[in-house]
Amino acid sequence: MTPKKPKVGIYSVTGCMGCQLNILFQEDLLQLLDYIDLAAFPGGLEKNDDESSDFDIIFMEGVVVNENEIEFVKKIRDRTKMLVAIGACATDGCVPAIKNFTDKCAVIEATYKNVKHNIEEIQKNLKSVDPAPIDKFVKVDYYIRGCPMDKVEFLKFMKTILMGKEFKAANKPICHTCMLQENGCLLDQGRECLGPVTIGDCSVMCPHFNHPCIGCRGPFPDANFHAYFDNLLKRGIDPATTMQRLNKYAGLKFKEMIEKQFETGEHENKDEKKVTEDMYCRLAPGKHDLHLKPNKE
Amino acid sequence: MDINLNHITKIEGHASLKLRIENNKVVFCELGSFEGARFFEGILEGRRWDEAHEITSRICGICSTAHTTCGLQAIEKAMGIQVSKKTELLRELVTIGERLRSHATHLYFFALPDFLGFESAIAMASKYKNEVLRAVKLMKVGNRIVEIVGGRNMHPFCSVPGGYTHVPSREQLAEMRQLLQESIPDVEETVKLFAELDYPDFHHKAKYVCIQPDSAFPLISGRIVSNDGLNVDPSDYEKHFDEYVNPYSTAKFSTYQGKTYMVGAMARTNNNWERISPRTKALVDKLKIIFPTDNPFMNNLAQALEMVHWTEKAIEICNMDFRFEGLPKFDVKGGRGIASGEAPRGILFHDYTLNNLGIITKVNIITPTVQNLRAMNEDIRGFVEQVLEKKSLAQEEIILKIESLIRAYDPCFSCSTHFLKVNWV
Repeated sequence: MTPKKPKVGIYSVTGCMGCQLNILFQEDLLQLLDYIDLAAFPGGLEKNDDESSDFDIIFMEGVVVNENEIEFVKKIRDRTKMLVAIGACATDGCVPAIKNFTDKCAVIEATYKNVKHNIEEIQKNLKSVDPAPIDKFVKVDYYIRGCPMDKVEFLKFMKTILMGKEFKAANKPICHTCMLQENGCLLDQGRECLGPVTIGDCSVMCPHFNHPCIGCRGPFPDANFHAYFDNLLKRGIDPATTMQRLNKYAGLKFKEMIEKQFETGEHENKDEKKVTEDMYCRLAPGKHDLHLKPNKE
Repeated sequence: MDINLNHITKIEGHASLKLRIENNKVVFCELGSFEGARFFEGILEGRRWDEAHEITSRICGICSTAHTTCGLQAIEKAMGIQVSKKTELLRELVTIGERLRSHATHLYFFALPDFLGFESAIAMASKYKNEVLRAVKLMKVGNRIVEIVGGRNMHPFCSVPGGYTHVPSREQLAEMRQLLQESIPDVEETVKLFAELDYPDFHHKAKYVCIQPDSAFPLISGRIVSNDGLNVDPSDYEKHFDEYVNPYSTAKFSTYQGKTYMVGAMARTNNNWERISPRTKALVDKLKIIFPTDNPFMNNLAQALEMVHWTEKAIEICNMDFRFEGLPKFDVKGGRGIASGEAPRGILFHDYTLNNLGIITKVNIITPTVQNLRAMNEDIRGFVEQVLEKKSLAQEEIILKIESLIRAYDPCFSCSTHFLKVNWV
């Protein structure tokens, strides 16, 4: 007797749909579908099981940006045994969460500048909340990271789960993968690479293509930010501009970690207090600093 | 009769429709999106010049390359950077890769099930296994091209302002060439399949707007042209294109000289019918396909034709040799840059103003679906009334017809960054 196929759903809140498409782009898509019962996937199916709550796995894409989506995410959580956040939006907030580091009214105003509406009215209708990853509202069991979601990691996850094993998240930074690939260090070239503080096991590896790591996989849990900023300064890179890069894909989580390390003095190195002040002024909510130094690259 | 479609399936992003029919007339039609607002234009203000293309890429998963390329070109115009011919060719190649997979996804996974009477491509796989396998194969080819040239299959990062950080090796070019050559029969089959489908006989005269390079088929750059004689540089777009808010929907709508217009594969094919590649021409003659047309359902066929055209062009590019030119070097300076390109689903505008430190101070982005939205709303009205004139239908049948019309436009509601929720009571 063949074991019962797991009942799988793929849902999304606000996002670019890239992660869902990356599921469609799986090279062995049809084979994969033999092993699962795909009961809900509004992105690709006409008939979806939007009611029942006996799902085994639900994959969730996107970032929560309004009140309705908070409710939606909570409902989804109640319908499934396992909730998996796919892609940087769902795991870390991604680009929409940059809004958290800016003057929010100015951001809305800039987007609707040609529109004759008052900002308060627009805000009321949008029911906007501060963009946040879904684990701010519900418990997430697994994370498949990357912007877009790592295709290879997704397949690995499916295989592991289908074999009934526990999926283990990466516990090494990008630098580890990079060294195995024998890439030259981009930080040594004075380029703002986020490899040392980003979770590794990435199947894409920007540094392999001579492009600095953009940090889309989110913070590496054991990252040492004191040492990282220190190293940036040594190589002539302004940590303040690197801050802007850190808040692009996983800003909320990076910020939390950095603040914790600097407040508790974890990993502290006495010489680089000046970095903290400089850094916080960029992270603090408020108007963007329009006088950043232009990058040499 | 009231029709409420809260979640239109099998399109990019989230959209909903409200429709009221009285005495076979549509009295009320609201098509919009409930994609949450992400405020891209606001987010970009205050970011550095080298982040614009990276952030705008995230507007949309399936058109990420189009947004990246268009964003890069706008930044380059603002700072007066000239890129090499080889860089342009690589940008074309990566855009072609995206076009192939986007069209394949839309045609086979979103549009075709409607015509063959299946609820999804996955359900279709049992009876039409060849078709589904062909789709998967074409998507794979497109993905592989974007992956090789752009570094990853979505949100490519290898192209940066001024050039590339990495170029494909000779072996990789050979691999792409082989993949493309092997897919020629597949794309030709696609055209045959979509030429023989039974499209509804619905006509709606519209303005067709696309970009047009000097002599080639539109892809990443060119002047803005329309079928009523418009021919302007992208930097003049503001004089002709406008965004406004409609009282019945909070979504932004776009007009061309105050009128409705259509963008996308059909607009491109209509306006550039003489420029299709020889192989496409031969196929068109054999199958007796006639363009220009004013049936919006033909957008599907136009996409299929584009796949043949671009496969042929991509092979030409893969026959060349690329050498790494070093990281681009230039001075950062201020200015305004406007660029337009063709995303798979239509013309796209990026407009940035930079201060002299290279920080973005003002942004405007107009995406294809925003531009098509008005035409889609008008077509839904026209089409439903035409269908009901002939015979009365049950609600489910009307919904099916409307959905297939909406899907023919290949809308991408993720792209429409300005969209608000429709049911705003």
